[in-house]
Amino acid sequence: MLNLIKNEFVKIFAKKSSYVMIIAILVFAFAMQFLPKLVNNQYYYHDYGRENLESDLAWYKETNSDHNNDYVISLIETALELEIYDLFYYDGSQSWQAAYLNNTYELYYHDAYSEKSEADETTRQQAVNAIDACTKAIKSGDYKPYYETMKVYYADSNSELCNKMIDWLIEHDVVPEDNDWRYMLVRNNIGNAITVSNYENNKRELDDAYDNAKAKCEICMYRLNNNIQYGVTQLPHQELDDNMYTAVKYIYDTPFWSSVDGSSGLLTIMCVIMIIIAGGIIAGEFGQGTIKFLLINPVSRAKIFWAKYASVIILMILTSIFTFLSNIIATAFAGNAGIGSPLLSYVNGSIHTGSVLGVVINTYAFDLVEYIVVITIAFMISALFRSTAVSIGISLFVMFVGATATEIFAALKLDYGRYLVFANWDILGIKYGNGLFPHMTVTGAVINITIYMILFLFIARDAFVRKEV
Amino acid sequence: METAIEIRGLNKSFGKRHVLKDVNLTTYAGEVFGFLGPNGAGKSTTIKMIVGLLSIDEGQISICGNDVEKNFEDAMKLVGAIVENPESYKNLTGLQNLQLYARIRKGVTPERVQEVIELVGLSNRIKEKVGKYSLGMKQRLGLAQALLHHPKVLILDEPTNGLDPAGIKTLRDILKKLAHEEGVCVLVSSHMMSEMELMCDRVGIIMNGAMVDVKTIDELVASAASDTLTFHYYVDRAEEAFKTVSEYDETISGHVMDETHFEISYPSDKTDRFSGELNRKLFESGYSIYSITPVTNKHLEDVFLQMTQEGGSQIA
Repeated sequence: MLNLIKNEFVKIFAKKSSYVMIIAILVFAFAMQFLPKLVNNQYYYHDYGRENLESDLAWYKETNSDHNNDYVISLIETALELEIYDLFYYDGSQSWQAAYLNNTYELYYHDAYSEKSEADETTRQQAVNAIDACTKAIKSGDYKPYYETMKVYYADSNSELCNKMIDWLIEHDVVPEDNDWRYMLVRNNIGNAITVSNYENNKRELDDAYDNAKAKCEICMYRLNNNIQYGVTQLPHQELDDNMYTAVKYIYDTPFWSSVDGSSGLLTIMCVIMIIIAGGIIAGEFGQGTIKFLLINPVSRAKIFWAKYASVIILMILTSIFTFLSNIIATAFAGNAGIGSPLLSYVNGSIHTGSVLGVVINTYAFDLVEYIVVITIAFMISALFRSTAVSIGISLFVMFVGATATEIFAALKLDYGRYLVFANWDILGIKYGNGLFPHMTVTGAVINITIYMILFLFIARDAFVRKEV
Repeated sequence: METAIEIRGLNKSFGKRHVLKDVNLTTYAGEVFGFLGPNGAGKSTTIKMIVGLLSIDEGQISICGNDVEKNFEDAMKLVGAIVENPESYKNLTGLQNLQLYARIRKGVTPERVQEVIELVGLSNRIKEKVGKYSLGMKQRLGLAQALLHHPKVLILDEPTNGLDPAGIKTLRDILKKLAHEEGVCVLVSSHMMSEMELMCDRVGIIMNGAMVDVKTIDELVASAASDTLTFHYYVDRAEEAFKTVSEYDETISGHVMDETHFEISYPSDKTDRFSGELNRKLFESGYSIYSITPVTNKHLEDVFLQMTQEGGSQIA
């Protein structure tokens, strides 16, 4: 049997196309790393420069003056004076100066700063003092008052966690710059801290969203205290990612592993190439006429059949491992940091650390299930037909039409679509609740796939063993 | 003699077409058996059934006592074959092709692989890709493949296809040596009757899916041979000499061809003494005899054509 499998590998690797596949994996792995970088380097976020801000100011001055306008005009004028141009640049990489100024105005302005204000003298004076203090701090580069203002800014939500995070930054003299991961981590988690306190202060019923926010905050604090710059957060429950498109269970705050995980899509390309190999592995012998010489050996047809199937599956697994390693190497070459990041989870009130490698391998392994089903279908078709072209053609057709048809079934709410193998092979998706049909379970999917695989292989084996050559 | 291939009551249909009708055949160790028949007679079908490429509808085939269907692996251990065209993996070299087979047959050492390559005369080109091989070279590679594991039964379908005269001679020598010295049973099918005549000990003729005759070459030729002997004379005066001869015995017939050549025939049951006395008579009558050549008997080809044309020249 081993010799039969070895023979199949000799035959596969005698073909130039197999080397094309290996090179393709490498090229794609590196392209996925470097192409986005090239594109990014050419694209500069346009600065909200002085001119933009001045023209904004002019626009506000021209339009009919009301109280709100006074506020904006005053804000822009102060910003111009302090040379802060990213005032209205809210994409998360705003400078602390701009954030500080915005926060201060929002907290204290109350129209009181304006001379037309009807506020009482004390409130007005308070506003004048606060904004004075803000401009002074910005001018002298003192960021501590910014943190204090932040605390006041979020004081409404009465969040203990939020204060804890900001206090940590003050205590550790963290300069609030984009390039300080601790500052960025806290900024990204303030929202979660507030969510947690909303639940707790209002005695709302705790649900998945609370668990996730709580875990994120605890892991944030753990990372601060243990100086863990890069890490992967394991959520208690899956949630929609930032794009609100797919459910995720892990948050990759590490360029290295996020890149490796994201590149698992490369397997899809490999899968197409594997379909071509699987589709040709039996039909190709007929095409070349070598089948006669293969079958007259003292080896039963069933053995030859299983050896060929095993070869395809082993090759698929090797390809996945190769793709995985290529992605790791390409990612390392691209200079992504965080290879040693831990996996952090918050379970029963304490933080656990684990290996990210396991999680990423898991992603690849679950992807592999789908590909193995696809390859098995291609292999089955290869055993049924004598022409490689027909066999590959039908396999690809079944692949695309099968998957699309299942989605149409799902869209039309034709429930029996759930019994199609195409609806079941995305086990990871089903595990995270992304199944095409409602109430799909991992166990159900595994049973479904197993039945289909046995059926496919039985049909293929039967056809191959009985075939008149 | 040890039985090699035994076929009993073999029947095969493709759809409604009854391709093999009750074929019976036994071949023995140590003989080269020629399998003859016009196109479409069922030669390849029979061969494919012997090596298990086609299923058997009815009947039995066994190789040295191993049933091909029930005991496939044991039966195939004893068989080496080329079925139809000698196809190989084009992207691999000749050597790599042989190594594939060596790996899945028991007891084939690297030395044996070299030995076989040497035997079929492919040593110089064995490391080239098969895609570059000529038909003759592929045929040699196919033979090497079939011989790798010291088979007891060697089945070759049209092995002389594409071989040059030297290659055919080598093949003939190899097959005869295998059969007569190593006790292998060689089953050869071919359309080249002159080759078969030189190569085979026995032949079986199949027509329209039925075995019509199994005989040794000599028996077959003799059975179909005519009952007269014919001689060609080259003399100084043909006309007069012919007259003298025909007057010698009334059973002698013949004709004068030109001034110096004539041919005579007489029944083959005449003794050698009769021939001697006839020639002495000519000599004593004063003719100069330059040469006497027997006009040879019919060849296998004539016999084959004679037998098969009885059934018409259409492909069955």
